[in-house]
Amino acid sequence: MTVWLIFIGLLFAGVPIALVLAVSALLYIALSGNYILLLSYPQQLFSGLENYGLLAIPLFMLTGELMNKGGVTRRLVAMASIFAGGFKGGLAYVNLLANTMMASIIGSAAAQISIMSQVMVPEMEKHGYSKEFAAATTAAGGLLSPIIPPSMLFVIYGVVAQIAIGDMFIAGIIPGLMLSLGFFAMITILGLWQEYPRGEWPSPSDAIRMTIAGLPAFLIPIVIIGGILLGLASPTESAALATFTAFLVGKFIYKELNLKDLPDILERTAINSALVIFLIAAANVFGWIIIYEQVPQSIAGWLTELTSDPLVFILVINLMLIGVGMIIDGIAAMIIIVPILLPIATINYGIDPIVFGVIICLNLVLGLLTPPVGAGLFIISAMTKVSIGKIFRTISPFLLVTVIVLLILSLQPGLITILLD
Amino acid sequence: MIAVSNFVIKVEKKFVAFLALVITLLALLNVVTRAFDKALFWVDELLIYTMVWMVLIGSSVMVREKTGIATTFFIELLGRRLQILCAYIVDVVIFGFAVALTLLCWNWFDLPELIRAGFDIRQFAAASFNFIYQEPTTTLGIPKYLIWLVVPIVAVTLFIHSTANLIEALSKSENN
Repeated sequence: MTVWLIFIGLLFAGVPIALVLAVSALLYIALSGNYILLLSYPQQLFSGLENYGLLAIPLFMLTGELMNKGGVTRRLVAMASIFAGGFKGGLAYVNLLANTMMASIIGSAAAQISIMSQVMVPEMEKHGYSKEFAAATTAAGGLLSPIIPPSMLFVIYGVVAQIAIGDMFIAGIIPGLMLSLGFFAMITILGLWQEYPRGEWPSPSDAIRMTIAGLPAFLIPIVIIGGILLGLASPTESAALATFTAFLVGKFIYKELNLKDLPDILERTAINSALVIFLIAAANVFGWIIIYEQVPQSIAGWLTELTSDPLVFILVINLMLIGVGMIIDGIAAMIIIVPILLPIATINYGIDPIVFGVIICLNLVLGLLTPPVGAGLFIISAMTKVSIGKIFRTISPFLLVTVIVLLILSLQPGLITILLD
Repeated sequence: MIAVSNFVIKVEKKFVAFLALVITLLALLNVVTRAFDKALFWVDELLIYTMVWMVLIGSSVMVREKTGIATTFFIELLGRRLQILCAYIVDVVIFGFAVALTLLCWNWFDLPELIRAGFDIRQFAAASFNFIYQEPTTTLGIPKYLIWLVVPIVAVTLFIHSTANLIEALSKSENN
């Protein structure tokens, strides 16, 4: 009991979550007087990180950085305009389409939102869209990032749940496309109420030029998803190849990547990935509390009394996770929650761990764009200077789409695993 | 202490950037050798250890720069005085953790016992039942304690950074 009070106290006092986990675990074993466990603490902290799959995280982060500095983002947006630019509200569709393409390169919603908001929001504003709407569509597009592979959330889920990361990536493709189509539909529906500015089709010669300029950028998602789908490369290897491709494209084809920027890019990659991965080291020692306190068993007892129906279980978990995702960062929430809920889901309710992973991730990305602590909301609000409240109002139809997709997938989990079979 | 911490963090940042580069190059090497069916097993192990070093040292940078992922929702609801109190609590908790981790590492590497054993690893293990110096790496051919050294190093840098954070917080409150 004491240890949970300490845990919640530290969490709410604003101690970094990784240290909340590490410190509570340390206090827990110290208080329990298990000195052998206590003495192995530093080693346990280290061994939590000895995982090949985790290497994909810095590599995908580096790919994103190289791609952005190398001028890939702009060309993907130009290419998207060939397909959707001319419709009424064209730029809104272009924004989503570009976000869908970007999601197949970048693995984190926060990174994608900060990159895309710098490109798309000024562009949409210039063409007569309201700033709120531009910010909201960009942020919604960012939600695709952790679902469409590659996805950092999936890498971490794979590591924590000990299932193949490549399978998680493949399982994310259909839910990601459903989400993307849902957002497109929502823009069309919203267009019935509000007048979008007219779009403009590029001239045929421009379209050809943009396509040629954009094609090399497509090498990156092809390398990532193709490598995994065809079984040629593990996620970590495909991440390494993607990094290399992003470097070559930025340096030699687009010629926008400056070697002088590399040290800064590498430093940012190292520190940002350390923030995320250190959570896993901390979770490894925190796992002691979960095991010794038999947390999954007690929660399982309570849940199975409530229902024996897997669907009801999933719905209860959905509700709970949306709540958790509102207060705790998605990745941290996943690291704390998966070791507790996964055994219940698989053992007590017979749910496929891959299905469970995709549903958890969708829930947690929803939390990115809901107050009070949606990281995505903060980023887009800081980038565009639109208040969080205004963005949240404009974005809520898109959140509704996400909830609907979540419900469909909960009812039809076969959609998640269909590509795997 | 603040100057020491600022110096340490500069070194740490350069070093983690270097490790990120090493990771990228090794991962590429891995892809190439595997494509030609000449997989080098030691690369896998080295890759993982390089990443662990990068992550642990990077987390030390996180403590000094206060960039760790934290739940700030409840703090924002509090008044200014309570917010300052919470900031103190964070600094003190991290300082306490650094001290504890340093002590645990001291115990783990047990230098006094090693010296008493005359740096004889067998005698050390027999006397202390601590096999840290005998654990090998799987493929690299070096003892694992060299790799584990990152934990005590980070424990010390955490100690330096958290002390610097505390000193800064205290001097700020005196100025107010």
